[in-house]
Amino acid sequence: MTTYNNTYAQQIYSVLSPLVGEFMAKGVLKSQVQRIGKTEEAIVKEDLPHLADGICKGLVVFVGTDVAQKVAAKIKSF
Amino acid sequence: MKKTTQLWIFTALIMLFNLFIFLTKVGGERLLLYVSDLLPVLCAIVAFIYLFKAYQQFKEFDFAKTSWLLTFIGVGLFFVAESIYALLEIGLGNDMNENFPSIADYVWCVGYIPLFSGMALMFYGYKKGGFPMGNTKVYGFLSVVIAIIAFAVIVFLLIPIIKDDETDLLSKVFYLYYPVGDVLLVIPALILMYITSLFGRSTISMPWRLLALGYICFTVADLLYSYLSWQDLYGSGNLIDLAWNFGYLSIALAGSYQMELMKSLNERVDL
Repeated sequence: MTTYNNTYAQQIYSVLSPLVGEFMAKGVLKSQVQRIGKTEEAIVKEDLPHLADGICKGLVVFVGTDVAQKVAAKIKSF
Repeated sequence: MKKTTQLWIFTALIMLFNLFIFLTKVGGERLLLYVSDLLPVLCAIVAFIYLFKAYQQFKEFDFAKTSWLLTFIGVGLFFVAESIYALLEIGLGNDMNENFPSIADYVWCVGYIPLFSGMALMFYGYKKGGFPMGNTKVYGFLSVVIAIIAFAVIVFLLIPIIKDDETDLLSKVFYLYYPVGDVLLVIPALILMYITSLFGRSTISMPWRLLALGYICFTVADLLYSYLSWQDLYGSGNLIDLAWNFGYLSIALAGSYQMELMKSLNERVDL
């Protein structure tokens, strides 16, 4: 079980891990924060919409737009 | 009991029944013929139904819905082909080796197009989504595996069939189409198999994993069928029938897992 010193990173990980598994949740979070030029520990509230959109884009192929957007909305609400 | 659990039990029972009939030959050649021709029809219709149920769970016409629709159409065509084959052999008493290629073969060949397109679309959608692709060394290894499979198919199957003077041109086209189609289908299947391994045992990856497994079963069965049929060694009740039946039921299970995944996500109150 991965833990982060950043509340937002931990919350995003908690939403993703039941869905895509712990290893992939960690990988997805890492790739998305790298995309916006940050680290997991440096996520701030303003980053959430960008991270949510990136995660939504990746989830679409598995669960469709509707469910992926629900996950994104959840992340944006943190 | 969950629908998926019921389907796993059904799959196990079908496989055991198929194996029992094949090994004991109880009921003689006639029953073997009926089982060999009708079980694939049953397995294909089960896959067809579960794929439709999975397809129905998607609300918007996006990558996911389109790829499941293409898979549904492909398996639907395979079901039609299996039914025609059974009708020709059981109903009309045709010798399928003598009458190769039959109408069923034309339908099977068309069915490969949506199956491959659906699989390729899933891979493209995943790549476009920007999720982790995994280790590049593994892709190198997969490329070597695919190259070895392709080389073996070309050397041991394609070239001998092309050089065979006793086989007419139309039969050659079909004998060649199946292995080539299968190798093309197994490439995205192997890649998706690797990608889903990155997800551990999560529910989101189970449908893709089972789809890939189903296509790999088809590939193994088809390659053996092409070789045996070309050598006039294929008869009803061959052991490779199990791979086709398990392939269909794996695809049915993929549809069932996708349906349950979508239902559980739509019902989750925390999303």
